[in-house]
This record gives sequence, C-alpha cells and structure tokens, in this order.
Amino acid sequence: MIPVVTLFPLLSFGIAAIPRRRAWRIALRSLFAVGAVLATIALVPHVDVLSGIFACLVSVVMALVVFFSSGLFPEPAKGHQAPWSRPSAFFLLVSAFWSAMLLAVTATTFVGLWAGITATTLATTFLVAHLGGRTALEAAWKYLMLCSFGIAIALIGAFMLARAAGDIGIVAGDRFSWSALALHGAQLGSPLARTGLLLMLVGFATKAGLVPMHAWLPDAHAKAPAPVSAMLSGLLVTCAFYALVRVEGVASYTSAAVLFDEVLRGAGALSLFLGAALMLAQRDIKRLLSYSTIEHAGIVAIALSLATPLGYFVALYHLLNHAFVKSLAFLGVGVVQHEQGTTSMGHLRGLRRGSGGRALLLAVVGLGGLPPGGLFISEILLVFALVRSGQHWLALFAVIAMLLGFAAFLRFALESAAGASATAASPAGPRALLGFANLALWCVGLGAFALAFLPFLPQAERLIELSRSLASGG
Amino acid sequence: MTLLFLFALAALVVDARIRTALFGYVLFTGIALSFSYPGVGNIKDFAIFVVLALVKLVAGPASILWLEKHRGLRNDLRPSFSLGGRIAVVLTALGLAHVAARLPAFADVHNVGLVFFALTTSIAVVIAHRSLIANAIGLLALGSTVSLAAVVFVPHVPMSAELADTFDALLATLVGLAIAREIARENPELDVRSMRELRG
Repeated sequence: MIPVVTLFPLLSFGIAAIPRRRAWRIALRSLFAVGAVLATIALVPHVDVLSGIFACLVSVVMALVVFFSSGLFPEPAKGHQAPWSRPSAFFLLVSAFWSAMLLAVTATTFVGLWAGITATTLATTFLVAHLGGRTALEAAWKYLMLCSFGIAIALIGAFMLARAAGDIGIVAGDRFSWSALALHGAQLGSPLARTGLLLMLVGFATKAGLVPMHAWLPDAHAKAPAPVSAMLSGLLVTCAFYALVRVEGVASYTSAAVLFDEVLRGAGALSLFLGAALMLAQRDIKRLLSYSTIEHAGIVAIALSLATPLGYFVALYHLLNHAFVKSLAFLGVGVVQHEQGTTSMGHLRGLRRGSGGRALLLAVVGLGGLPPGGLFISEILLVFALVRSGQHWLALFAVIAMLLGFAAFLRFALESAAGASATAASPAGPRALLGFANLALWCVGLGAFALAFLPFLPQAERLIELSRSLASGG
Repeated sequence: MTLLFLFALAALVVDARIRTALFGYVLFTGIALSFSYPGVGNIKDFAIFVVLALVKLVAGPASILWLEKHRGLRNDLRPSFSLGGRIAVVLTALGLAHVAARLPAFADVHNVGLVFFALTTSIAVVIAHRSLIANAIGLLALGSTVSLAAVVFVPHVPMSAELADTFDALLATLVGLAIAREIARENPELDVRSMRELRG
C-alpha cells in the first residue's frame, strides 16, 4: 500500500504527460492530483498518526499547487531553453518531489527518511533553476551543494547511531528504526550515539534552513518560480522538520537529550532573530518571504527543543499553519508578479484590488502573527510554553524577534496595499486557466485560516494526544 | 594501503588540475570500495558491488570529463589558495581527522580516522578551489566517503543502502553538471567568484 501511494504522483503524472492536447494533459493531471490526495487519505490507517498528518498535508498542498501551476504556468526567461524548463518536465519534477516527500514522511527508518529527503533535493534543483537566468541557475547550484553535503552528514550520523545501537544488542534489522531506537533509548548513552544524533541534527537542520546552515534558502526560494517557492517554503522545510521531530523523538530518550535540545534551541533562537532582523532589510517580496521562512523555522525549532507536550503541539500546529499560509503568500506573489511584472517592493502597488494581491495581503496578516491566523495562536502558545519552562529571557527575545518580523510585513502592507501599479501589466493568459489558479489560491487561503479554528475543534484532540505521546515516547 | 589512501585524498585538494583530482578521486574510491568487498556474501551482493564500482569509478568521472571536453574548459580547478596554503589545508584536515579518531566516542571503531580524513578533504576540495567542477568532484568524493562510513560504522550494512547512496551521489553530480553546463554559457570559467551576486 505505502509504495503504491508514494509512487502514485510520479507514475500518474508520467501518464498525464502523454496526450498531445494541452487541455487533456491539464485534465488528466488535475484528476490524478485529486486521486493522489484520496490515495494519501486512504493511507492514513496504515501509518502512524504523525506520518498520516504530514502525508495528508503534503498531498493537499501539492494538489493545490499543481492546480495553480496548471492555471498560471511560470514561463522561463526569454532565451532560456533548458530541457527541464518545458511544461512536461516541470510537472514531472513536481510529481517526483511529491513522491519523494511522501517517501520521507511514510518511512519508518532513518535510511528511508534520508532517501526521501535526499530525493527532494534532486527533484527540486531543476525546479529552482526553472526560470533560467544567471541568478536562478546559481541559486540552484548553491542549493544542490549545501543540501547534498548537509544530508550526507545526516546519513553518516545515522550510521554512527546504528553502530551504537548494535553495541547495545539491537538486532541488525532494527538499527535504523526510530521505534526500536527510542525503545532502547535509555541504553543509547554512548558518546558515539550522541555524536550520531548531533550530526543528524546538523544535517536535517541544513535542509530546514536553520541558521547557520541557512545560506541556500533565501536564494533558492527567491529565485525559483512562485509555485516552486510555495512548495519549498511550505512543504520542503516542513518535511525537514518532520525528520528533526523523528530524530528528536529518539534523542529525548537518550542521555544526549539535554545537549541535543540546547543545540536545537540555540539554532532556533538564532534563526528567529536573524530571520526577523534581515526581513527588515529586504526590498524584494520573495526575499522577504524567504527570510520569514527562516524566522518561522526558528519558532518551530525552539518549540520542539522544549520537549514538552505543549512544545510539541506548538511545533506541529505551527508547521501545519505555516505550510498553508506561506504557500498562499508565494502563490499570491505569483499572481501579482504576473499582473505587475515585478516583485520589487518599491514598485508593487494596489495589492488590495487584485485577487493575488488580496491573497498576499491576507497571508502577510497571517505570517505577521495577527489574528485570525493560526500562527497567531501558535506564537502566543510558544511564549506561554517558554514561560512555563522557565525560559523567561528566551520568551522576551522571541517576542522582540516576532515584533521585528511583524514590522517588516506591516511596512510592506502599508507601502503596497494602496495606490496604482507603477509597472505595466504583463500579457494575461487564458482567462479560464487564470480562474483555475485563483480557485487554487483561495482554497489554500481557506485552508490557512480554517486551521486557526483547529485547536477549538474535537479533532484537535488527536494532535494534542500525539504531542503528549511524542513527549512521553509513544 | 593507508598511505595510498592519504595520498589520493591529498591530491584532490593540492593539485589544481581537473584530471589529477579525478585520478585522486578514482584511487580513493577504489580503496574505499575494497573495504566493502569483504561484505559481499552472495551473487546478488556481488552484482550490486559491480554496479557500485562502475557507477563510482566510471560514470561519475566520465560525466565530469564529458563536461570539460564539451564546454572546452581549461584543465584547471582555479585554486583559492597558493600551493602552500593547499598543503596547509590538507595537513589541517589530517590533524582534525587524527584528533577526531582519538575521541572517546570512536575508541572502538576501526579505521574511523580514514572516514574523518575523507570527510574533511571532501569538504576541503570545495573550499580550496573556486571552480564549480571542484564542487562536483567534492560531491562525488563525499558520496564515496558516505559509503566508507557505512562499512566502517555498520559493517553489515545492506548493500542496497550503499547502492542508494551511490546513485544519490551520481544523480546529484549529474544534476549539478547539467546546471553547470547552463551556467557556463554566461560564466565560461565556472568560477564561484562570479556568483557573489546572491547574498545568502
């Protein structure tokens, strides 16, 4: 069941690329995207709760991004004719990325998780370079190099952990399984196990864009086409955090727990503050959103490092919200860029008039941590969790950093909401397809703000229960 | 054998010619592969081992040589430091590996110093040269380092895990070279110095 669902997006999109007529390709692709979501939902009883939540998140957001890209395909720069920039290749790479993420979040061992995460890098490098032009190609190169090195270090860490597991008598077949490792966590106190866990933290944190391993993120997210930025920022970072949750799940049982959490908290605090401070210096909306991703990665890392039920809840809830809101923001930028021909904050005007602009402003409200966004709830809860854990200074520090991030978004909203566009509109695509993109955009927006009500629904108990079990080793 | 191993890895960093670095890589990978050969227990493992060897020793270097020829690149990795500086980098890597191998964490792990030296030199290749080709060679070397780490830390690691890692390294190199080919249209020297526009 799991391999079939994991491979479904890749295989079905391969079939959807066969028809000659564009309308058929779009229809088939849309049908298969819905099919992939349904297949993922059917998968839920066969995997654990955490995998089920992340798999559904991946498939729902990916399907909406596919709908959006079908409506508003990101056209490469003039003169750029690389084979990977053709529409058929673009959607095949998107489907490969989708399958890779499903592989990562449904794996039960660290090797399977590594294979999924590393496959996401391979699938998305060409997507980052899709638009062509010098900076996009160089951003893709930087992304490939840094993430490949980071993830290789994570695998070496997994080998060290497996060696330590063998030393305490865990059977060969279970040495990469996090359930088995967590079960014997109390015995996994050797320096080798500790080193392995820390290397895994460094490796997956590189992929999550945590400071100081973040250098690839602002370039890759800013230079990729808007739907790809939405996938990278909304889902790729989320999957990297899924990996960190799994590693933390093992580390919390070992004697490395305190050191592991302190390193994670330190990287989180640095990411939160640097991300927020650098947001103020940005003059391009995509770079602003990229640094906001680093800021939010910091929030999740800090919450995770608390290793308490509330901390786990905040981390998971923040990841879910961020995936939707950040996707909404980047897709909104895609429409705005299509309409106004720029992403420069000095030139964007009149956002409150167009659908893309409104979506972007709505996302900015959410990302800035204002109600009714779900991120408002998770940020308040993070401060509460920090105070409850006795981390008063870090709570104050986090509030200051969040205010800096809010100020950067407020400045952007005040500058860009009113007025008339300074640049000429680029030629519009077929109206029906644009409507398709808008529909996807509003579905993402609906998802983003519906999540704000999740903590008040009976279904939230599942997430809270999961957070408790993560904290107590279930 | 150990001396040959150290020499091969040092050549990756010290020599500024693409072909010499590739020779160093092939020599290093060949020795690393010899560590995993004793784990080959049946015909299936042997078949996987042959595929591993072909991919690592032939496909990876051949793709770099193809790009060099296709784009008419100079046989030059564009060193970031003088020869003395590069030798100092190798000695530092050697010192770091020596210190790491003596940490209590690795007291019971045989050959761990070789893994750390391979890891530090794989990273040093990228630092010591400015050509994107050096980055690609570093990536290939890192792939072989991961395979070596698998054998050293988990002696009975399934060959399929090594195969996955090998194909990952090869695919990453091929993807990188495809991107480098496009970059070479505007930056024929493939020099990272001209990539400063991105601010990170």
